[in-house]
Amino acid sequence: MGLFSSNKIDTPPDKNKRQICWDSRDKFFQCLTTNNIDNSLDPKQRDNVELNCGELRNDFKNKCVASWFKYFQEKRYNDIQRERYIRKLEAEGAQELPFKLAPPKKN
Amino acid sequence: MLSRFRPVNFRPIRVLPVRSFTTSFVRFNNNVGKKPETNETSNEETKRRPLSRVAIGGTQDNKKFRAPNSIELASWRAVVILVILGGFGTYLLSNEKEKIRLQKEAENNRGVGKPLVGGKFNLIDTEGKPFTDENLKNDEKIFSIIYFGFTHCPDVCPEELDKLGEMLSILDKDKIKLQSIFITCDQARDSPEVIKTYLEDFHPSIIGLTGTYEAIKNCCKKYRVYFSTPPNVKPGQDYLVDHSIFFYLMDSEGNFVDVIGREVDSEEGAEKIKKYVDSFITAEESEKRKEGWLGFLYK
Repeated sequence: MGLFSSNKIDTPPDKNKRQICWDSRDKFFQCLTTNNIDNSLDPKQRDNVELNCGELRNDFKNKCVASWFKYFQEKRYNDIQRERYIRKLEAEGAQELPFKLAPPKKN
Repeated sequence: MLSRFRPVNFRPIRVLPVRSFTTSFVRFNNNVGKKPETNETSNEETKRRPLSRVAIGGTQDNKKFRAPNSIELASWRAVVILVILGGFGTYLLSNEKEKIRLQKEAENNRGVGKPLVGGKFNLIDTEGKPFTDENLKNDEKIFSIIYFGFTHCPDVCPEELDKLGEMLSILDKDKIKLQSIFITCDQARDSPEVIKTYLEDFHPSIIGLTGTYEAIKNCCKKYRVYFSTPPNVKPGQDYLVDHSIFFYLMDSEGNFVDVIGREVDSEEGAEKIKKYVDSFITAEESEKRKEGWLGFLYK
């Protein structure tokens, strides 16, 4: 136990730290959006990210644990793609299902 | 002139009661189906009738069977009372109907064909005391809500646990007690102390559980929770655990009731739990009810 609790990585971020991490993430992502960068982990975009949002990226990296840093960027790209796909389907005339994915109500 | 009119004027007074009786009788018979006996008597009666019932110089009165004007007869008070009582009755009945529906659903979750969610588990709480499925069972009809997660979870778990905290506050206002349980999927890093500090952020009443890897794995399997820790993790390494994100609602007999997913917000979730708690009856009560005189309602 001593090994784990003394290790910085093994104590999970508390509420305060989480909020700090999320805030720095939001700022970084905001910058990515203004610069039209979808996938900030894409090696081709590395220079672009570094040039435009480098400082915010470093801030984000420092305030979040490494796994979160990676996860949030992956998630953002996934969400963007998903959103795009939904919009594409809607443009093709697809309709949203009129119910949530929950068991039907019996009367 | 006078002597000729007098009997004519006089006659209707004597005859009318008889006539109105017989005609209504005939009408009644037409409706129900004629019986020979009553027919004879009505024939007899008709024999006694005068040939013409129209007073000389009088007019045929067609309004003898005027439909009674019902709204005139019923006082407005009666109408108001009827509407109020009817509305109230309908409300009560539909409420009861919903309850019976939920109870039937719960009934279906018992015995044969019950969903295979939940079961025996053997973990320890943040005080190091054992906590098993027996701890879900109680006589005070206190439901349990179970969430699987891990303390290093980046965004979903904190959000969901915040939601749980809100739901608990809402239910607390409605005087509904709920035993909330957090089970870690990442026992390698989540020691009882870590979980304890972690949960204090969300709600003081949440019970944190951990155990050996085998015990956690077994428990997750029983609750159909998928989780995957990346292979070959070195001590001290930072990683994420992939896992399913549902709240499991369990009744006070330790049976699975329903899941609450991410698409439901705290108010909807609390409402859902409240409905289940309100309509919950124990297996024993349910048996008793079925044997009671109103048993047909519940079958």
